[in-house]
Amino acid sequence: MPFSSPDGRRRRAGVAASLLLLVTPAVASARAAREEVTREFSRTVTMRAGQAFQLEHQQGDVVIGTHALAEARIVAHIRVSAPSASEASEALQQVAIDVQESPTAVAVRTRYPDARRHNVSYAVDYDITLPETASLLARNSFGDVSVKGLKAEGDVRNSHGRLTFTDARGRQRLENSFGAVEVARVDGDVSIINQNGAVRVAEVQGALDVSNRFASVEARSVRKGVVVVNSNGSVLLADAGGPSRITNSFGTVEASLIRGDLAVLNGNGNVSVRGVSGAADLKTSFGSLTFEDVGRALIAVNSNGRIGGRKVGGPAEIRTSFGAVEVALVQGDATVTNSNGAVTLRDVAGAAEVRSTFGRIEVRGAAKGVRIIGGNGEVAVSNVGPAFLKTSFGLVQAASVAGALEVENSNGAVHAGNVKGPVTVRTSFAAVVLSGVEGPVVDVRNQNGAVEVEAAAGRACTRITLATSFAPIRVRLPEGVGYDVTARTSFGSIHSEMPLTASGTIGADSLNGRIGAGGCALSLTDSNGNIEILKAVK
Amino acid sequence: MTYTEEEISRAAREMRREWDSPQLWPRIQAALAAETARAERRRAPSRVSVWLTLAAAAAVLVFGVAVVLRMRAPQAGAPEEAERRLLTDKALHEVERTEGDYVRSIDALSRVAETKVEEAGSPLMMSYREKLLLLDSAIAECRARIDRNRFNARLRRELLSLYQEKQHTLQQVMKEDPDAL
Repeated sequence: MPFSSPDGRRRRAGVAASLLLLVTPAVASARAAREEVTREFSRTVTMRAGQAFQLEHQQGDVVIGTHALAEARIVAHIRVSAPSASEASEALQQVAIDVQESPTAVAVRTRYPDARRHNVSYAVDYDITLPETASLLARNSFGDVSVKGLKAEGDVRNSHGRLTFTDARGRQRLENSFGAVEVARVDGDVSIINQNGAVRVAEVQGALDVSNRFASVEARSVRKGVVVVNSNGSVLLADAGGPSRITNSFGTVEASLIRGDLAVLNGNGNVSVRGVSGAADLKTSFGSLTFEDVGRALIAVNSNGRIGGRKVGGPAEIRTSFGAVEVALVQGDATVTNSNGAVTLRDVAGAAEVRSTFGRIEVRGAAKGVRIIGGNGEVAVSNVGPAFLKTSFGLVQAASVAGALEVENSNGAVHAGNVKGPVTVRTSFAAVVLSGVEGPVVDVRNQNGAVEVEAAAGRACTRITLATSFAPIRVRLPEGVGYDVTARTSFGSIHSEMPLTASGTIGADSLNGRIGAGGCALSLTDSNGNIEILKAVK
Repeated sequence: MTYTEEEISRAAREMRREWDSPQLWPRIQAALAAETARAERRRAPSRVSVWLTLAAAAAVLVFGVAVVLRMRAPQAGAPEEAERRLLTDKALHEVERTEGDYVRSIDALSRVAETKVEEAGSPLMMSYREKLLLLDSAIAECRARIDRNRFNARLRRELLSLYQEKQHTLQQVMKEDPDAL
């Protein structure tokens, strides 16, 4: 659970307002109890090209603007309060604004009285106008800082106050703690470090690097790549022009319109990604992971959460546990590993490989084939290439398989239809029903379960081998195809609808013979079950 | 010697005896009552923690009501007073009283929540612990500044904000299951 949320921000804003209200009436009612004096410091300094402007301040607001002139205008509003007017005036003179000029910089520093005087207090606010091409190095604490229109490199570090930085050009480094950072319209790379305040960035014509710890990060419209490292707050990235990376824990991550690769590493929170032109590497746990429209390869890893998404332009590798997987429209191969969760894959242009235990697995559309290794759940595939399906204690269903079908089940039924390739089925304690088999071979080995197979018409020969025990075997054959029949059972009967020419020994429990001209092997082996040879339904 | 089931059943029927036992049910009742009392006693320690939690919640509630009542008190100030950078004596007194309320509220919460944070090893609780350390460090820094600049409204507001955030963080800790993550 993130510490900072929109609700939290609203709450803090409300509290700040209430604290202000709390202070206000008292201030008014007792204003005569102390003496407050003010002084304004004003100085204009000519700046040469290449000279930087440096400010070191604390306990007051700083507003910095720029102009086209080659001079810095420094205005400081100094306030001092004390029990008496004389003490206040004396202390006021002790608050100094140092302005030092050197070949490389103009440095401004606020000096407060050193001695601890219990009843004297002070505050200084700055209004500064700089040459727009002068680089800036500013330090402040316990006050807001606002910088607007800087057209050179900037390095601004604040703490315990809001930091606003807008309409700038050049590389910018901004740092804050216990205060929000707001950045807008910067033509250059921006680096932001914050600790416990929200970060909001918009319209950066360069790369963006943001680090935060206990509050939200929001970045919109960044021309180049974005790196966000957060800890306990939400992250929102919208419209980044380059490869981007987001690291977080205990917060949601949302990213959209990323023109490049995207990597998201989240600890415990939801991840939602949409519109990545490159590859996406997404990891989280204890939250849902969703994606849409990833241009190239996808890696999605979750623990204890679901993974869902659609439209992947390349291969997709998906891993989770204790959560469902629902993925559609993968242009490459899809590999899914899950445990304790259902898996649904749809429209995979490549091959699909799925491993899961304790969950239903369904693959609809995997042109290059499907390989499923399940545990204790149902398996269903349709419109797939060659298929290998393995599970236990679950029904296996396969429909429209354009290639070989191999099923290894135990204690679960197998139903398959419209299979173009050879079919091999192994199971026990449940029925096997195959229909519309067009492949050259059908091989079914069952135990304690019925076997029913219908060979499709139109194929010259489908070699059929069926074996089971303690259950009947029923085979339906197309007319006009010759079979060499070997049928054997014990404690059961053998019945044939097809005209059959017997040869060798004929008994109630075994039969050797020929249907039509023969030539195609039909082997039926049972124990304790009837065998029926029937005509296929036209 | 072996017996058939029928022989055993017949023998059992013959062995059956009935007698009056007027004290049986009262003894069962007494035993049940005693067991219930023992179960109540076993639950007693958890009740202590419940009462501690309720006490902390009550402290927060009382504090909240106090803040609201103060906010709704008649206001004689002019609007521009909100812009003041330095407090008056009375304003400082009010702020320090509010700070005291916060400190008491936080102390009450801390007694319940900080044990939970320190004992839990989950990443979430470690994260809360990290945040509380960060807040404590910021509070200490802010108080050091205030020692030299007591009437600075910005410093006071920041300290109240930090106290408020710490209180909120402790409340969140109390809501979390320590073994959740």
